[in-house]
Amino acid sequence: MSIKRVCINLGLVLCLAGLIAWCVLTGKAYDIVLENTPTTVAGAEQPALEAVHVIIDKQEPVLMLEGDRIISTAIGVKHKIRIDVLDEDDKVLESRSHTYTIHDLGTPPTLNIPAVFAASKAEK
Amino acid sequence: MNAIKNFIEEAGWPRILIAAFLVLLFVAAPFVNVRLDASLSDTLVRFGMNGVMVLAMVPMIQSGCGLNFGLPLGIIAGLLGAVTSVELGVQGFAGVCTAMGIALPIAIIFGWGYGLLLNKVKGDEMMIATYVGFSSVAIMCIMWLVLPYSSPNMVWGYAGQGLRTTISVEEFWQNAIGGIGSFNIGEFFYFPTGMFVFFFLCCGLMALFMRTRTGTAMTTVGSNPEYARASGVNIDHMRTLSVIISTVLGALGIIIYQQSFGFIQLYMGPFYMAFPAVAAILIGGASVKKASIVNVIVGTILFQGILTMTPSVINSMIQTDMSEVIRIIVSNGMILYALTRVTKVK
Amino acid sequence: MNKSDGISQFFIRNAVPLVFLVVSAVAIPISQFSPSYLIQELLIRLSRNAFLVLSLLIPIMAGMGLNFGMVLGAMAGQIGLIFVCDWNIVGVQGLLLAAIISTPLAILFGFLCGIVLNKAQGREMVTSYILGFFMNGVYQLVVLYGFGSLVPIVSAKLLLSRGYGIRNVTNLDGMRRSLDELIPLNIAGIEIPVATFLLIGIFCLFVLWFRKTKLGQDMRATGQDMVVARSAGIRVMRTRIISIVISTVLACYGQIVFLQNVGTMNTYNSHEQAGVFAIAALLVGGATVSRASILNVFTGIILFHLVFIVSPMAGKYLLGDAQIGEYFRVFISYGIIALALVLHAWRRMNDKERARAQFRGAEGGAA
Repeated sequence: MSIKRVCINLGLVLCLAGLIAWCVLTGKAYDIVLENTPTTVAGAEQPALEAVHVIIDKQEPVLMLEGDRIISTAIGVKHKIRIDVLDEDDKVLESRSHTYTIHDLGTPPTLNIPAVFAASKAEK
Repeated sequence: MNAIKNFIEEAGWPRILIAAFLVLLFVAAPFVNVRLDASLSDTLVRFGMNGVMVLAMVPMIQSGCGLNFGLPLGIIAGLLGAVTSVELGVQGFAGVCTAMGIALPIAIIFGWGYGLLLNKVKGDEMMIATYVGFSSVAIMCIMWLVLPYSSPNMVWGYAGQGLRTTISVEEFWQNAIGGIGSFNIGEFFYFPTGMFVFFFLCCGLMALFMRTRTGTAMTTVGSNPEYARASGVNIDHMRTLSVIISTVLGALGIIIYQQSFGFIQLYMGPFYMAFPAVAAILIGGASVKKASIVNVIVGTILFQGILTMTPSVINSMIQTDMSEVIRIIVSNGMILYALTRVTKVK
Repeated sequence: MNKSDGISQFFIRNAVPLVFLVVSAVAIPISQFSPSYLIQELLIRLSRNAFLVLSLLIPIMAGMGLNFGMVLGAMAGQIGLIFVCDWNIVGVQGLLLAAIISTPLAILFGFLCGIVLNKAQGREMVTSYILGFFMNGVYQLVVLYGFGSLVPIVSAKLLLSRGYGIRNVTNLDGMRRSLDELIPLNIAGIEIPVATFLLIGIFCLFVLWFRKTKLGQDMRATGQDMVVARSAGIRVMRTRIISIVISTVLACYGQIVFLQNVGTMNTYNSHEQAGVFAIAALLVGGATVSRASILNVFTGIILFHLVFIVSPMAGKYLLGDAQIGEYFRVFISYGIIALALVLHAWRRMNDKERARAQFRGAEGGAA
């Protein structure tokens, strides 16, 4: 086998490996635990939010009331989460977004909504 | 040493492996609390049940039509006979005889048509036989719904028409043949004498037939068609005859099977019934072109023995029922082996 | 050949599609389905099955008849899907990964199938058919007993309650219709799975291109006459194996495309059905055991599935029992294969007779 062929084969193998990596990275679905419970972030107490819409990536909004814990799915590694705080008439009072990677969330992947809310406040 | 080599050559590895496996199962049985006499009795009963259907393979193989994957056609004739006999309400030995009597002419007509068809497609018999069997089962599915049977023992209760998927023959002729002269040794060993008598009667008749002029002519058609033609044998005629005999045996075989099993299985029941019979005769040492009565007997014992022993022994050994998978692998593996070996010799 | 002979030849050659045309022409009005419903159903079934049916073309070209061994490819595809399901990879990525995982498996299966079929020349079809059954046993052994015990499976959802073995039904919710809906298009309320059809189109081009390559030419030569091909320096056995390998790999992809549309997988049945229906569809399209074109594939799928869709309802209105229609479907799928095989064998015998008669006639003329 000539050097050229080795190179071509190597290239093909790399392409395939890249493809597999792409599939796994962008296609793997994770179950994420969303919890709207009081928590402490950097020593500060964060109360649970009364009513929020949680939107992960471009999925349907999920309504969460105070004290809710639900399991949601997210596809891929990097995610953008948007939290819409609702008033009594289900109108959006305040909307905040936050990006994170799945590995930040620990096992099992857990997202604490008040904490995310607080963190994104700090970013602003 | 040479003798052993010859024996292995003669019998073929798969056959020896299967026999060894069966012996192993029988040896292992007492250690896992499986009663040897009960299993032996089961094997014998199943041998009696299936023997005739395996015997049905012989004439077609001998006449060069290959393995009769179209056995369901004969089975359907048998089913028609059985169902009609139940409809008439004939009981006991007379019931079985009625079933056979009705099945016989139907099987002859079916076999005749099927034989004519196979004469048109020489060389492709096996594949076509398979699909003729399948499609006849499918069309009979419609027939079972439509045919005007009305015995309340057989039709669906709520609709009042259309036959049920399984029909019990317990009140009519269960064990009507198997029960003749049957006896028990101890609590577990049961010997269905009647079934054995019937099976060996069929075998004997077949062996006699093969020695007659027609029988030898049939064998010649299969083994050396050019010679057969030269000596003035009508090849197509012989082939059709072999198919008719095979179909008739299929019909009788299923009635024997049912009278022991206690149920008539309609609809998709006969769909895959050709395969165990084909596998059994191949395990017994037959090839696609040559089969004898000894092949039938040996093959049925080995195959049915494995089918009886694997569920009980393997199940008690590893607590899972792998018998279905083993059955599929052994039977189809055997057919595959036979199909690939022929051309190598040729 | 005179004119009436030509017409009868045309009818004999196209007997199967013509019968189906008549049956569907009768059954469609009886079934009372709306045209838009029928078109939608047909599009779905076309996108679902075209790939599987196309995979049969290449072995026919190589003279190996209908590749009943395509179920081996389907098994490989299903194993890929099981893994992807287990790793919870969804969407098109999941399908792609399933295809990548199952490709080597399909190549291996195809290679084995090719070797076995080379040992059974002249009876390839029945052998590949039995091989399908045999491998079904092996597949069950592996998937029902090996998965979860020897092969690591993470997700408990896939496994039987006893802790190993895959459940009878595997849910493909994550991948359901992901390819079909990759490029959404909706015309007058009828959804068209554009991406799937694109893939099928690419594959048709591949088949057309492949026929013109050196390998494709070799295959056709092998299909016509093995002895001549061998004397022309073609490595016949190798060519035959390659044709089966290609067919198996394509059947594997076909099964993945099929299952993503269906959305659930009968772990132990889906592959068996794939073979029967694909072959029946191809034969309905007018293909024979020795000759098949892309046109046969599409007409076949349309005609076969038209009858398939309407027969239960037609049965219900005509005979008052939908069950009869169901059994009628089963009957036509097996009956059509039987009929096509018989016609093929019959024609071959007739050709032989005719050739012999011609030969004799020529001899008589010379004398």
